[in-house]
Amino acid sequence: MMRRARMLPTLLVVLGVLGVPGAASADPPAAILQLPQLMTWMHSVHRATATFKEQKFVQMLNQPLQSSGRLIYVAPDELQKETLAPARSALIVEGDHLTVQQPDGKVRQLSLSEFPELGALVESMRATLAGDPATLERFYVPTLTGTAGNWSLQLAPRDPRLRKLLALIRIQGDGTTIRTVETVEDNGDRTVMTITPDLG
Amino acid sequence: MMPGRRVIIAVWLMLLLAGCIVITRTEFSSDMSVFLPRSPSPAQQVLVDQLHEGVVSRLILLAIEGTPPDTLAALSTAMAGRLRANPAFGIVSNGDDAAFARDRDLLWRYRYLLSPAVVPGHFSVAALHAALQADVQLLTSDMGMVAKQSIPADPTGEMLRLIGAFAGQAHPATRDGVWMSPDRSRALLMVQTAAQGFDLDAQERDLHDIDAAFAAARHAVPADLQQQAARARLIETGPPVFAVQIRAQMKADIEHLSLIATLLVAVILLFAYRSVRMLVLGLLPVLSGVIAGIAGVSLAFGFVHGITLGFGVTLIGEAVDYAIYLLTQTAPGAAPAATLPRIWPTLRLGMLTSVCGFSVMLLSSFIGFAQLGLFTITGLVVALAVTRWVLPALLRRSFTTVTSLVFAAPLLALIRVGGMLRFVVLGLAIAAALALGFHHGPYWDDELSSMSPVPAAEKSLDEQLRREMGAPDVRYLLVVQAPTTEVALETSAQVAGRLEALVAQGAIGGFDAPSTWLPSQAAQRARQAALPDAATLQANLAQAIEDTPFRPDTFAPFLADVAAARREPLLERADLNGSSLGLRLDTLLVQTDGRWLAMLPLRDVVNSNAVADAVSDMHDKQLIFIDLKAESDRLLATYLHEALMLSLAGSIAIVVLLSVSLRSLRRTVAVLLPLAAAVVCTAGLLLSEAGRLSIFNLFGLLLVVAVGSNYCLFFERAVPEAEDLTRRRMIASLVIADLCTVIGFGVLSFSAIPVLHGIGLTVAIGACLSLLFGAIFSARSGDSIWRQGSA
Repeated sequence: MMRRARMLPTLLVVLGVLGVPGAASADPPAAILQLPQLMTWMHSVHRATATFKEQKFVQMLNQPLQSSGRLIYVAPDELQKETLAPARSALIVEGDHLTVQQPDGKVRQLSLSEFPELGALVESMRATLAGDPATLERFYVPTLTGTAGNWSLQLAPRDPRLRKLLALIRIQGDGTTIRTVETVEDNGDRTVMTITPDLG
Repeated sequence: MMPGRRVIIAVWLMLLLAGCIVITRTEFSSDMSVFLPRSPSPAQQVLVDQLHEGVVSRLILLAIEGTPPDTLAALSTAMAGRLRANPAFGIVSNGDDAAFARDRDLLWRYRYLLSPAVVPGHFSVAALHAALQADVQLLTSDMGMVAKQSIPADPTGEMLRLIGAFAGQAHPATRDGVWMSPDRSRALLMVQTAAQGFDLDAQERDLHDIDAAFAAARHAVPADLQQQAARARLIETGPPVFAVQIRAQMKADIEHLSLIATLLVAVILLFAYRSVRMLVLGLLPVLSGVIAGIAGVSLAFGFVHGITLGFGVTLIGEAVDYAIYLLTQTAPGAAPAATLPRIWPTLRLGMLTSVCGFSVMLLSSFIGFAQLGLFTITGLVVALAVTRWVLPALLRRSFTTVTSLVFAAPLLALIRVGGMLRFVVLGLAIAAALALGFHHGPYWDDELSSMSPVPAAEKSLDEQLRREMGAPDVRYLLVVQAPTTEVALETSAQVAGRLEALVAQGAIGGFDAPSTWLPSQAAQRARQAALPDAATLQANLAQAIEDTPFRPDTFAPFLADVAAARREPLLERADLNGSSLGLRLDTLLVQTDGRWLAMLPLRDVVNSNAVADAVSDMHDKQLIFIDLKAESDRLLATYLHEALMLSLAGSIAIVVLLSVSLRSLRRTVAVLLPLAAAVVCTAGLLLSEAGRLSIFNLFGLLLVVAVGSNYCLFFERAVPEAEDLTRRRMIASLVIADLCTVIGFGVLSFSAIPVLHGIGLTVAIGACLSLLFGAIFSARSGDSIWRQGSA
């Protein structure tokens, strides 16, 4: 996501100069992308910002819920999701600590472990952004398809308890830019987040 | 041969036997709380109870380290499983979510009786509408996925409130499903023992079980991790661990040091007497004294503390002197009966002086010190009586005595130049007094922690683990005293209400209260009454849901649960049994002496004055605000003051005894001057070495006065002029006696236990100086024997 698409060529050159294996000769965009390759690219991005729009389809509601806001990622483990509409709220993850600023202004400090579903959800984004295949594979079975210019990463939860809630996460991207994150729950509820990287 | 010799020996043996019988029935204790006060204030009583049996005293922190995180996690899980199966452990926490399943169930089931938000109007149309809108926001937010599970049965979010309070305490980070240090180098576990903190036998078994669980866990991990698991190490800290370690160390110290002291003293006596028989005879008074001392303490207190026994060593040092004086000062071939009249008055006065010094310890608030006092007094009296009556009865006319008087020569030489050295000693004493007078900073070590026998390295490891674990380190505590549980819980809720306001203001980080987990019956009934009946609730909900995106049938579970909560029996303490909530309650709500105490520990106190102000009008509720640190420092200050007063009283008693017995101001001064110089110099030395004096140094100085006065008395005492050999024998007896005392206390100074080290070091230095100064000053008096002796 964010400024990564523009950085990618430069990045590849730098990596080539440094002689990092696998990045030495930039793969043609049409070639099949491998997960280690994607992770290596992701790993070299240190900071990125973007805006998002989110749609939730929940069965107990008779209409989808919409929200929008900003995303900030700072390597290796800081992730902020600031929702600006319909109500201001924020979710800030740093390491294992999760700070939730609720719409009513209340601030709650949580440990990701106390809400395993949330922890897994956070890692699907954060570990992908950080290019941390070990963490990603601890929670999910990842399947990458597509090319560097248009890839799709499917994450299937490993933990049976988590599987009861979360059927699948599908992340679509282009280079180091994440375009959409779709979360499908076991009962059919669905969340689709569309991401637009900041320009500049 | 004395008349009635057999009678004396028979009486002595019978008394020894009686003493031994008492000892076999004696209970020996190692409970360190005897070194806490006997009659503290209510606040101090809470402090003592906390140290004694509070949660903190039962908390063991464990860390597994030395292998990669996945192995650590597997070991932690396997170990926690084993410990949870053991009823000796109340709470075993390692971050494993499953351990709190029962608590979650309880909170969920009783959420409408537990939630403080359930008040009349909480389920009105307006309130429900607001709650539903908040739920929509919640669903929209990132908490949505979690909240979605509970919203249909709990749209007003009671469970979220309760979980927030439940998980309010800081936790370590969880990785791989278990608690780990931030760098993932250690898996962390927290164990609360079911046994009380002071029950050291049980604690020792618990620690053994923990080691066994760790060993078993190593074999229980999956096969591919076995190799790494073998490299794992287990670290244990926390009060029970320290207490057990200290007891073991103290026992080892006492055994080793007593043995070393006894051997050294035996070697010296053997060297002096060159006769095993004389050695055995010389040790008889000590042995009798020790037996009598233990029996006496046992009869008076009902138990004997391990530390008291430790000071049996010191008794060896002091009581062995009596036999030395008698045996060494009797010339070969002479009857001891002939020596006795000459040395008896000095021996008796010396013993009385010692008893004077030790007797003030009987008044100490430390039961431990009172026992020490009684033990020593009984021991000394009996040892002297045995020396006076039994030894002569056992001695044949032709016994060998000290033939080697090599000790005497250097000291006599020293005494010859004593006139000169006197000024050196006075100079030293004045310098020491000035050093004491102009000492910068506090004299006294006024931190309770300095009395703690826990080594600094262990303490810092404990602090490190506590930081990583976010373990409660309670300093501030509000305590409510009430005649019944109901009143205690009601007051607790009242206090909790005010504390909530302080949390909102940021004056405190948080708190725990028994009423949070077990509201009073009245509070529960009020909440039940605030729940609307089924028809009203359904109507209110139908109206509230109208302009929200919720489907109308979503909240059927909510209607059913509220209806059930209206009918269900109230939450009782017994319902919480077997959950960690129940155990938490056990520590927050305790019964003592027919009264109930509700404890509200505070976390992250920023402004303690605000807390005091917030509850200032509640003193009629028997509410105490306790700063445990300030209270424990105050406790130590009380002890120090008491020890100072007792030492002063003891010193005055000794001065009075000496001036009355010696009937001469000049002679009294002659005895006291070297003694005072020795005490001042010892204090100066200790202060310059350690920077501060401890309460144990102070008691040590009192013993210096008690023991050192004996030497000074002998030096002061004039002996008929012509008997040069008698003089040499006397000086030899003093040197041997002093050596034995210095050894007895000196070996104690090698102990790492502060009480043993402090007293041992002080008396060893003081006894040396008393002998030296006594010798030097004895050359001063015009009518002293030494001037003629040196001529």
